[in-house]
Amino acid sequence: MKINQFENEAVNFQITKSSNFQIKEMKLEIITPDKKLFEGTAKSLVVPGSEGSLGILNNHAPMIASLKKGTVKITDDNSQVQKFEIKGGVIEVLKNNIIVLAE
Amino acid sequence: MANLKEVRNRITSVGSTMQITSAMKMVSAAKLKRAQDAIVQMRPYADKLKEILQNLSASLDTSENAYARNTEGKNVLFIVISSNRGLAGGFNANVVKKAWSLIRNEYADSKCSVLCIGKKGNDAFRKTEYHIHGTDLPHHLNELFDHLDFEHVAPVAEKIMHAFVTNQFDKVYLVYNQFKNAAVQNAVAERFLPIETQSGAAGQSKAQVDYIFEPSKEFIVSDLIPRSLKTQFYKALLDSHASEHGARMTAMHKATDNAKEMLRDLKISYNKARQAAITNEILEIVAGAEALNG
Repeated sequence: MKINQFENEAVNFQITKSSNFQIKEMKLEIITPDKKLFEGTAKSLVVPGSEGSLGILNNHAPMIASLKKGTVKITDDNSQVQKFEIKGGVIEVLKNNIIVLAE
Repeated sequence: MANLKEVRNRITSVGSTMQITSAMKMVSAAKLKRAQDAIVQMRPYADKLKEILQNLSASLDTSENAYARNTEGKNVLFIVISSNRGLAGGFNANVVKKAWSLIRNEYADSKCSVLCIGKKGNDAFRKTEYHIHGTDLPHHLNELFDHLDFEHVAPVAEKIMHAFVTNQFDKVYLVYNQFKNAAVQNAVAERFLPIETQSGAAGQSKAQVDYIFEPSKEFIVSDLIPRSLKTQFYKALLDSHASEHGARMTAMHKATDNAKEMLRDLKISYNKARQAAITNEILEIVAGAEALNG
């Protein structure tokens, strides 16, 4: 009985460890020179890259991309969609931290 | 001894002046708070932009960029940022003085032009030979302070950058009051264009992350440089705006103090005059009574 419990704990530990490794959501900030447009978590993100739309999910590889005029579309944890109009900018993706510098 | 009525009139006039100055002080304090907030708001943006740009330019030669064209040309443009309203202590005088000293000393052998942002600076340079002409830049930008946000400032910065790229000017400087705190402003001249191309050594020390660049490093750098220039220009304006309100607040605070001091002195001399008049009157009455008795 006791051994079983111990094993269970070990399994649990492994699960928590792996789920830590695979973060479900991304931290996202949209900053303009005048104010912070958005700060929070998001499930997915679509931005207007200067050579075509870019979709970003969690665990994206580190990336810096320039953006053109268009709409930033955020899907948050409850699958609610938010949209922001930007005139251009740049996006930095690093370890599930996303910063959009928009104009 | 001063006339009683005269002194009384002066007391009322000094009193109402004091009311005005202390009201102006309070208005400036509120506006200063908002102007400072705007600076704080834009800081994360500016910092991040700088970080990314440094990250990129560490491995790239930016000296080829159009904004880095560093010639020995003699066409210098000073962008003098002042305010639209006065009564702000030495705020406008300092920045105009700074611009004059640059024109007369450091750039005496260059062809200088001055573009004024703000009415007070424009008044100082409007009738001089340095006032900007013969370019497609606007002659003054007084209305910029009515709506001081990035949306309105960015097109102005673009025009100035365009004038530089098309060889109308070889150097562009921003002359403005840098905001230190509510009481201290420094009139500074900051190089706007050409941009300083930093050597790669500065950015190298940081741990490099292997980024994907979309579409390409070169493209992003050439896209980011104008952005960071616009941000720099905007920051100078915000700084100057906050300085203006800080300077006015300090000036009005001093004016209120002076008025208080003056009011105290006037009240003393009013009371003295009143007392002297009463003494005189009693003396007359007593003298009159004495004359009747005698």
